[in-house]
Amino acid sequence: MTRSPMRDFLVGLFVLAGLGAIAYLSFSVGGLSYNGPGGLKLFAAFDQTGGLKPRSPVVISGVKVGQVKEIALDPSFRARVEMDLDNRLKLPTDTSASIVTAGILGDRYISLQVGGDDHLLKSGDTMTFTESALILESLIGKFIYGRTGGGGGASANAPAGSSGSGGEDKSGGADQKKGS
Amino acid sequence: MEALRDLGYLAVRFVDDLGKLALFTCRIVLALFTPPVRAGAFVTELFKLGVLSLIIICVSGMAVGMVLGLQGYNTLVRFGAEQSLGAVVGLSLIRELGPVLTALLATGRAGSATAAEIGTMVATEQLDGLRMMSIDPIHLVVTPKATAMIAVLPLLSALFIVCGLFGGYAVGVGLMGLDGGTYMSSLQSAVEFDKDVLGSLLKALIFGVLIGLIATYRGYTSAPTSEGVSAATTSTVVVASVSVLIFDYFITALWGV
Amino acid sequence: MTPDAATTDFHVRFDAVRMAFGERVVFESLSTAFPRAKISVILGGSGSGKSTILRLIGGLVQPQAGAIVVDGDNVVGLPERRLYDVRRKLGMMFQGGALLDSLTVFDNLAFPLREHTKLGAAEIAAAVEDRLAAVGMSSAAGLLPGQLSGGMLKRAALARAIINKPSILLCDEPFSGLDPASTKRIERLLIRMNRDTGATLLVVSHHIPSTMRMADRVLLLLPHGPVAGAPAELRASSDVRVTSFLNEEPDPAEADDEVEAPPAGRAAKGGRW
Repeated sequence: MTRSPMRDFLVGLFVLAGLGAIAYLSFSVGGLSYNGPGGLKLFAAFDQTGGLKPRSPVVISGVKVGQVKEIALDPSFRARVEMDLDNRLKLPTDTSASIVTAGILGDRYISLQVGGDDHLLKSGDTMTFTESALILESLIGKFIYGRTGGGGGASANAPAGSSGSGGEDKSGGADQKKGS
Repeated sequence: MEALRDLGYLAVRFVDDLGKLALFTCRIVLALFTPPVRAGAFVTELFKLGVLSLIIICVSGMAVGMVLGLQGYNTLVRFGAEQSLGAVVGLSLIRELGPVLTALLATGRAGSATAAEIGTMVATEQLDGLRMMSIDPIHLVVTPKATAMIAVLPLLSALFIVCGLFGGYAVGVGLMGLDGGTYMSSLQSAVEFDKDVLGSLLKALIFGVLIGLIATYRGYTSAPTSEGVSAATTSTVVVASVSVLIFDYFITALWGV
Repeated sequence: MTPDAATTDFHVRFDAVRMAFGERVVFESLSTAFPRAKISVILGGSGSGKSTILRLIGGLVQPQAGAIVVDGDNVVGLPERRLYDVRRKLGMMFQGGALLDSLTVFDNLAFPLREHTKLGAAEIAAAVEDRLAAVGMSSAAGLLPGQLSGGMLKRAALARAIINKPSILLCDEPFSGLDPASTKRIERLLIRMNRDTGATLLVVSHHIPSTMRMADRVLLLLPHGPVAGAPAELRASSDVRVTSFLNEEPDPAEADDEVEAPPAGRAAKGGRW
């Protein structure tokens, strides 16, 4: 078959269409996102990750700023989550991380609430304030078997995005009012 | 006793064939790294195997997507889960139907054409003619065809899937009255790049390798008669189709779906 | 009859070559030689192994035993690289033409030049046109092989075979399927090739009249063994099998018709890919 410019053009179109389809499936449908610069490595310890996975997003005010790199057990059997964040972020040392759910039955992700301290978190630091994931079953269990005190009421500690009573295991520091 | 001996003979011949196929593959790979680069032949094959398969792939993709939409809706509605139609159509297409059906269609169209073309070249002594001119027929004819098949399959598979998603959308939203946004968000939340899309592309790539090798091998080793060419063509379709389906299982199992 | 090795210069020589395809033995121990710059014709019935001789010379099939010396190199067991070097000296005109059917006649002829030489487009075009003119096919340069008639196809094949000015020209049944006029034309072309370029011609044929006219030497492959000599010698042979073959009569020693053997050997059996 002799080459003709028309054929070459059609081949080019075909390849473009095919790559476009792959891109559509990867990004739009599959949720592969082009990550902004990473580089800021932070750690946070949780009692319960509730299904958080590596590559789960890390979000500030609803905007994705990084992702979960790795989750491992630390010596005291808590889950140590390593996050890879945009290195242009300037996060105060009293910033807290909570594991929240997208929707009611959706995937877990980490939401950061920015604090107000003068000092900033550096790459490699461990965050002091964390809030573990809510496990729906334990909530229901508590509700059914009743619990005195604790639990109920619209505590200002309600983590962003999820329903139900306030979180448990607030580690470290004095009571803090967290805006949502 | 006869049957047992025939079975043994078949088994031996199968292994023998496999060995020859492996050697053949080595020669193709070797030719890849030998100059000159046959870009022209490669592009021509992309046209013959890819562009000319577009219509059958896109039409089939859309049809399959539409059927999935229909069947999916009718089944899901029984459980009140019709909101997940996007997810059902999407995952079925991306994980299985896209790569496998594309491979089967491509085998029938592009694979048999390749086998027949090479087989005819054997029968008309064109390959011998090339050898007498000190040109390696594998380098000129086989390698471009095989590599084009490998390149084409993921592209065709992706196009099949996209057309299928559209078909499912047309049925689910257009016909059954689902909300378009629900369809799309159900689709997007269920499909993950790592597990689903990447696995799908990997499958398509492997299927491309299978079809490319089997079609060119059968054509190259066909008897130089018209029965030989026809036997090579049918054998290509049968062997490649079965291989695709068997490999599909193993890839699915190993990829950890 | 063995050729006189001392006085004749042999371009191609077979030494005790044994060729068999599986069970079927084509040559038990063939020893013969083809003189330089002469036209040698290989005659024989169907399935006698005529085409196999050409394929053996070109290294397309390998014999089970023996040596085949082509211009000083033994092609038996020669590695692919070296074989390609030997093939540069050969030009082969296939029975069916064996032109690449997706290329025009011009591109078919230019193909080996583009592949193996660094000639520029103008030089290649000049060479192609020259060969086409030599075979009288100048007007057919833009046609596809499928559009050529039988005679035109043969001439195009011949033109391609001589594109590299080979010193040995192998012709497999150049007259097959042609009408008498075209046959004569090809015959004259071949003779002229030999005279003008001094190339050694090895022609496989079963067309006896042309053979007798053009051959300097004939190798006749009979069922009981090969017979070689000049055409006149064979005509005057005392062996009745030789003369009856040359008179195109069925072999008196044969009881029944020999079944035409299939074109074996091109598949992987015994062959080189």
